[in-house]
Formats: sequence, structure tokens, C-alpha cells
Amino acid sequence: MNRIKAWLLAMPLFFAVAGCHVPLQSYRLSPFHPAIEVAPALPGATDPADDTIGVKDCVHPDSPICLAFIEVDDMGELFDRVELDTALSLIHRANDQAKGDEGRTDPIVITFVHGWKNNASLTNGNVKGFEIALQEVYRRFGKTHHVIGVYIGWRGDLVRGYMPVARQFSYFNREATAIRVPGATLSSALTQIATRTHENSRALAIFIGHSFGALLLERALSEATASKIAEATIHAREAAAEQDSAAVDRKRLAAELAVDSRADLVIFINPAGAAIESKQMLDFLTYNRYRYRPLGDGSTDGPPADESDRPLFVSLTSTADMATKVALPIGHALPYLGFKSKGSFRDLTQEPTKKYDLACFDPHRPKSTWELKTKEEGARPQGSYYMSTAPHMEILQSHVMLKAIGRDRMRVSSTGETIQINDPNAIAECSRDLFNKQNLNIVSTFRLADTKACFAVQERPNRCNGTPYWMMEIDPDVVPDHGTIFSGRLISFLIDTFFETPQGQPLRRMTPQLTVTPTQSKADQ
Amino acid sequence: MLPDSVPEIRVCPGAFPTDLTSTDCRYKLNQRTLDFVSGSATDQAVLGATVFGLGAQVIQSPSGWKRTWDGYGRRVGSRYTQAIGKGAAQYLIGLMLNDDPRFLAYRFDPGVIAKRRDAVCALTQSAPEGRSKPCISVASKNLDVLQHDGWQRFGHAWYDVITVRRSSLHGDGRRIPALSRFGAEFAGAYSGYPWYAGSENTFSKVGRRAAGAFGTAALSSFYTEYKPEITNLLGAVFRRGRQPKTDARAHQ
Repeated sequence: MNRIKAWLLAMPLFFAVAGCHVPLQSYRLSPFHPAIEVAPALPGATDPADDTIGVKDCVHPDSPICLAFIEVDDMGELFDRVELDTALSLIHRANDQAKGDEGRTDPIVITFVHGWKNNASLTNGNVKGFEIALQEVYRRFGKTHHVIGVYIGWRGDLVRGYMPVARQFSYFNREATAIRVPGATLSSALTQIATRTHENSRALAIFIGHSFGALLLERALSEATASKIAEATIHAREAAAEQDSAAVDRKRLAAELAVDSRADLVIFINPAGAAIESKQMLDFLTYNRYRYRPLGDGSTDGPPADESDRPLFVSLTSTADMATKVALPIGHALPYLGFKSKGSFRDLTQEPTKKYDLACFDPHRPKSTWELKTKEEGARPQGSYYMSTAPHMEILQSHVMLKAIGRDRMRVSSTGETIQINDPNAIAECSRDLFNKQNLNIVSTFRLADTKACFAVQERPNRCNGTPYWMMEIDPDVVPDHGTIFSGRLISFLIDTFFETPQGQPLRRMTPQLTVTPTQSKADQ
Repeated sequence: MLPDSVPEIRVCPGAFPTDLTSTDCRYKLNQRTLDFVSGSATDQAVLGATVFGLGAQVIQSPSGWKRTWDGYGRRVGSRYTQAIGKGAAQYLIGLMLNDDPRFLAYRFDPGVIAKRRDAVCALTQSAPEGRSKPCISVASKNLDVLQHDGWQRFGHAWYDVITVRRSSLHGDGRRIPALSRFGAEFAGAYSGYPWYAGSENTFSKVGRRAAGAFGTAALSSFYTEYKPEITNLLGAVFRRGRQPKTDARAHQ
């Protein structure tokens, strides 16, 4: 009997010792499939029980949807440069095909960085989900554009699923990895993807990060993007001041190159990084009073159709995302105490050497910049930005999502407040213009693909963040939790809110331009 | 703006509407194996045995084992053995019956949805011959005209404990008695046999242990049913960085 007991007690030890770690490996180099073809069909069109469909390499130039993989190791180095080269050549090939086709087949390049508990393996849920999302994007853009996915794989899954407790505790290790991995390798890879995409001025480069992938992406992009923005701004200013036409052309070209080397839109979905990660970029955009608006790309005559502000970065989180709302503060509690005990955080004091104000910018207000200094005004001590994600912090939110409840009321998803709508046709038609007759400052509206429920995105009243870094909490009807991101509803929301796709028309890169709001006069301040 | 003809994506019961990754609802062998190993054999089972063993140590249950390291080891060992026995029985019986033991909330249960659809049909279609045919013309969103009744949800949580669905592609397999669950509770309770003294292995004591384990399953079912309310509550507790209340209507 004792022997049986001993065997039973040895069993968990066996599992622990017999390799509970997911090995560090590249999943696409052996067997060699750095880029695969994705069939342009949606789930439902094929039997999901049919698992026999094999992997097909994306070698044919006419393949409408391709998915390339770029894998980095735990230290942030590429497993093999060939994966990046393959991705870049796919984009180049798609751009070549689009030439002379009046913009109808311009590529849409979507780069996705997965989060915790995922990787680039054949059976990974995020890989499958991304494939299906690419199919959906292809369909939504009229089945004319080349859709190229670039899946950035890293070792997000450290412990195998059969050790669930140890897997949960890998949170700290993987967060550290998501902070360590971004470096010159990944930043330059992302820059090359954007630059190669913009060889075609109408092609779109979109970067998306989820969970720790958003943290990783933000760290990889922030420094490079801020540099590019600053560079483009300086060159554009110098070009405006320059007299010599050759020098003007040179400066303009330099500014254009700087613009082309960054993505058209970066989307963070349920980001699992502390708000302090986003705040430096936010401060950079705030201090320089940047706006991002479609001012025309010079290729067409006449004014652009819409001059409203557009985002360069979008950070979205579900109000029902408990992983970032509840688990992240718990996970950060111990390090927070460590920082706090060492005096690493600044508090809301007005002592000149320690003061910690929050700079605000909203181009739509008469006085576009101001500072929040006290807790009553909404300022938060530095430690607060470590204990929450950025879009969960109301003070950083630039927009709110409204959901129609009934014929004449909308509910703010993040606060639960309700707004009476005077014109019932506004909800019936889900019309931005009708909403805005009531001065609601709605920037876009959309309907859920399945229920047709009307939603709107509104500029947050009295917001502090009016920069092109949009942050908002979104309704659980659009994203229900932390992990469910590959849904028709979210894809519809993203396309309807951030892209212009008039039916029957080729996709148009809106080419918004960053502009600096003029400095206020002394009297204003 | 965009094509309206969105093809309807049939997702698994309980999955988020339009979830593009949730179209195959079968409870596959690898998922069943993973659930068994992760829930009953590895660290989660060890942690459960350690924590509940500690509770038993505090109240000195069973009284025959002293509050010593030896007694604690027995309490942990017996609980771990029971977890293995329970998981193995559920795995094997479930495999034989090809069942799907995952809990479902009332509003997602395909059986409930079918009944609600029939009810809406009965309200909206007067032709008696229409009722004899399956009612498929009612759109899912129109089913919301029937409110979710509190007692029906409560009852469904119990119903979901005592029955399981057959594993099927669309998750709508017919309900069968939860033999794998019942069998698992008893197998788990009997697995403690090598650890306990004879006085603890009587049928009534084993039955009591099985009932305790069954209570845990019931709690899990109720959590599934009332998860939205629990989530809302947690969300309200953990709201951070709140701004002073402002007029949500318009800008200054």
C-alpha cells in the first residue's frame, strides 16, 4: 500500500521534472514554412471538423492572403533573418502587382504581436485566429486587396497547459520578457515592414498588439516612432522656411521618408503593460501639441473629404477585461511596494524638485494646453500609472464608447452614465451627423455585424488627452474579455471606426499628417 | 459603407457572438486529456490537496490523524489520490459516453434557446400547423423579448450539474445524465480508501465525501451561470484612476 502511495505522490514531481517548459524554438523554420497561404474563405464556409487541410507555402504571386512569420527568441534576437526577408519580399511582390491597377489591389499589411500563453506554433489559437481575421479583412475590403499578415512570434508560452498553476505564475517571467525582447532587432524589423509597405503610397501598414504583445509592440515602437515624428516635423519646418528649391525638395523627401517608415495605425488591444509605458509617448505628443489629420496626400486635387482628427496610436481595452483590470494590479502590487519603499515614484507634491503634474492637450478647447496639479483636478501620483493599464485610467482616456439602449438613449460603456438623445432618428440611422446636431462630438458610429446594435465613439468630455494617441474602454459587446479578440464584431468596429472603405471604391490610405498646433499667446496662458 | 451581407458565423454555445475561432464545439480527446491532467494530476491538484489538507488539519478531520507532519502528509496524500481517482473516472466514463461536461449558462444552452424560439413562434405565429414544424424563422436577437427568469437560471444551474451534453460539432448534443460526474465523485471518494482507517471507509462516510465533491461541482456550475454579475462586481471594486464626475453630454 505504501508503494502505491509513494507512486501517487511522485506523479506530480514527474510532471514537474519531465519538461513542463515549452521549449525555446522556432516553429516555422523546421519544417520550413516562413510564409503560408490562407484560403480566402470564412469559417462556416468550410467544415471546422476538417483538420486535414495542410500548410501551403505562399509562393504564388496571385495568392490574395498570405501570412508570414517573424520569430524572435527570449533575448529579442531573430531566429533566422530569412523569415524577415520572406515577409519583406511578400510585401514587395504585392506592391509590384498593385502597380497600374488604380489602387484596387493595394496591399493591406497587418502585423500582429501575440500575447502571453501564445506562440507561433501550427496549432496555436492566435495563429488560427489571425488567419481567420485576415480572411475577414479580405472580405470586408471587397476581396480586391492583397492582405498580408505578419505574425511576430515570441516565447509567450513558457509553461505547458497541463501545469496550470505554474503557468499562471509565469506571468512575471513573461512580462519581463515582453519588456526585454523589444530592441534594435524588432524595432528595425517593424520599420522595414512599414517602409517596404509604403513603397506603394496607397498601401496600408497596420500594427496590432494584444496583451503582453501590446506591451512588447509599444516598447518596440515608441522610441523609433517618436524619433521619426520629431524628424519629420523638423524637416517639414525647415522645408517651409527654406528658400532654395533644391533644399526644399530634399527636406520634403526626408520628411516623407520619415513618415513612410512608421505604421499608418498602431492598435493595442487589451494591453497588459502599465500606463507608465504609454505616458512618455503621450507626453511627447502633448508637449509638442501634435494633431493627426488627413490633409490630402497631394495625389488628388481638392480638399479631403474629412478633416477630423485621426489616431496614430489606439489603445483599446474592454471594460470586462479582468486580466488587466484585476490581475495586473495584483501582479504589480509587490514590485510597486518595492519601488515605493525605495522612493522611486513621484507624488503629487508641488515641491519644485519632485512635482508631478499631468500635462493636458485638447486642440478643440480654446485654451489647448493646461496642467492638472491636484488629485481633485484629476492628477494622479506616478505610482498610479504603474498600477493600471493606460486605457483603464479615466484621466488618460481620449474617447468613450456609447451604446444605444432603446430608441432615445445611449449608455457610456466605461461609466454607465446614460445620455438622452433628442433625435430618435440618430439611433435608428446610427448617424454621426444626427448625433452631432446635439453637440455630442461623435467621431464615428458603427453597427454590430450580427445584432445591428448602434454604437458611437465620442470625444471624452473634459478630456485631458486630445492627442493622436487615442485611449478608450470599449463595450463588452465588442470585446467580452481579455482573450476573445478574433471576432467579427471587433473587426467591424476597427474597420468602421478607423478606415474609410466606400463600397465599390478602392481603399484609400488617408495619409493623415501630423501638425503642430500653434503656440498660444501669453494672454491665453 | 461596407457590405451588409455578413455571413452568419455559427459559434459554439457560450462563445462570444461572431467569435471566429469558436466554430468547432466538440470536446476533443486532447482537450479532455488536458483537462484531466491539469485538473487532477499536476500542480493544481497538488495545490488543492495542500490547501484543503491544511483546512482539514486545522479542524483535525479525520480525528484519527493527529495534527503532526505525518497527519498533514496523510491529509494531503489522501486528497491528491482522490483528485486523481475522480479525474480518471470522469475521463474514462466521459470518453466512453463521448460527453461534454463543460458547464453552460442558461442563456447559452441550445436546449433553452430552442424552447425560447418555440415560445416566440407560439406568440407570433398563429397557424397551428406551423408549430408542428421546427421553428427556425425567429432571429436570435428576437429571442430577447423573453426575459431571463431568475428562478429558471437558478434551476438551470442545478440541471447543468446533473446532466451533460453529448459532444457534438455545434455543441447542441442531447442531454444525458451526468454519469461521468456522478461516477467521478464516487470514484474520488473511494480513492481515499488506502489512506483512511476502516471506520472512515463506510458507505455513509464515502457518500459524505462524494457529496462534498458534488457541492464543488455545483458551485462551479453556479459560477458559470452568474459570471456576468460576479464580473461586474469585481469590475466595480477594481475601477482605477476615476475622474471627477462630469457631464457626459457635451463639451464646454
